[in-house]
Amino acid sequence: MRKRIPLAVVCLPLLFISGGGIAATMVYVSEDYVELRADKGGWSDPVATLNKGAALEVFAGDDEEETSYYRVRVASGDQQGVEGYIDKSLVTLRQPEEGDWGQLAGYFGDTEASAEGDVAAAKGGFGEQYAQNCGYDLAAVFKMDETRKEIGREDIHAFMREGGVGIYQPRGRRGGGR
Amino acid sequence: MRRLTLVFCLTLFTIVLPSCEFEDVERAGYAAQALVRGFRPLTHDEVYQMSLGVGARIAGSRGVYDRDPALTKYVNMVAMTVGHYSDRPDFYYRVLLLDAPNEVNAFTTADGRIFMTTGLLMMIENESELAGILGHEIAHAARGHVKKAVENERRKIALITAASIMLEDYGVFAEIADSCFDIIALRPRSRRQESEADRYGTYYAEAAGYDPHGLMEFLKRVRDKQVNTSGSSFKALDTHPDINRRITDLEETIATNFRPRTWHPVMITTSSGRRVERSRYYTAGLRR
Repeated sequence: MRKRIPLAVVCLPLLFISGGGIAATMVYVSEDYVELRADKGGWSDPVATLNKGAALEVFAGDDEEETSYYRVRVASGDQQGVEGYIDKSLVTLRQPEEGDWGQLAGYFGDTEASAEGDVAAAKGGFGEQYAQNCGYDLAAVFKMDETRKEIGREDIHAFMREGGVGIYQPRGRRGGGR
Repeated sequence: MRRLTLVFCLTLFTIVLPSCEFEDVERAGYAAQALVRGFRPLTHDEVYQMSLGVGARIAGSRGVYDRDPALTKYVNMVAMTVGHYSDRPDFYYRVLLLDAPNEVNAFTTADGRIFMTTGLLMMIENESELAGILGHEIAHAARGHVKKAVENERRKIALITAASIMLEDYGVFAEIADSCFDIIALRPRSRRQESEADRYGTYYAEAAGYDPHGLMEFLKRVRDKQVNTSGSSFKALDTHPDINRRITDLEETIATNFRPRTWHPVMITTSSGRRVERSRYYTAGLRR
């Protein structure tokens, strides 16, 4: 018995230490073009845009009912190391399979490079050109993108708190009939 | 499924290729690539650009209501609150108010831009109704309805789209953008999509803490006004399918999914100490 006690004392902390080291959970983005946020909530600034299948290392899962976000770090790719928050509904534990398009595109040589070509073309502003040439109100639509600057985190929290809605709704009122 | 898609595209390519006036194999290869691109899901940047073009056209067709920044900010905050409980909480939901007092309507682009007429806001009686309507529009973006509709259209005109990419032909793009505008702003969506948007919009609003009856109550009021003002200039939800069916479906959704409970309106205290329902406070300027 005397020999067992020191062994347990030595092993138990080791178990925790090793468990903590290994238990860095990996999750994978389940949708395309998911925005990683600087803070919890869709009103927060985006810090990265991730594609389906992107691997993320979870720091800690916040299990409070009103915060359904993981704090994560991008595990690979050109945005590796970027940290932020992602809604739990937008990740899976298994890497999603490549869709039909990924394989089909390969047959025709529509590689990542040519896809980038499309993106470059899109960034060339064909939508902007269209709107300008037709005399439509492009400025109004651009102004919509300023909304996030005009409504800060404090504003949206004050708004929800005042109305008792969103993350400030009374706990007993939560329904979620889905 | 992959094989089926491949066979379909190859068959289409074989049918289409002879009709093209391409002189060499290299150009035929480009044509194949372009065709496949037409069948590929829209990229993030394509969605953004389409949304810019279509949004600019919607804004230009009605005019922007920017005389009341507090109202615009208020509607945006309701959208952000409801959007937080949607299937895509990461989307950036933002609302532009359209200066159209005689029209009750709202539109959504695939990237989460919502356009709402002042005529619609004038008909709202409480914040739960606004949350339900915004939930409906958010569901169209979050459930990918708009994106899918545009992709379906793009498939139909895959060759033209491919040509526009290859030739960077603005005229062809304008044709596509016009077509997208028709999809988003003019054509009624399928009853299945509308029903899904009503259902999910109600889920989102309820999850955000709002009375799930909001959207349904609003639709009932619109229906009653349509009956009372038939033949006048009043235009309400004319891009949406049968309103009676939508109300019936919502009644069923609410009865099936939510426990009966007492809901209280969102009340605020004004600077003069008066208690007032929050949406009524912010839309008061429109009603004067």
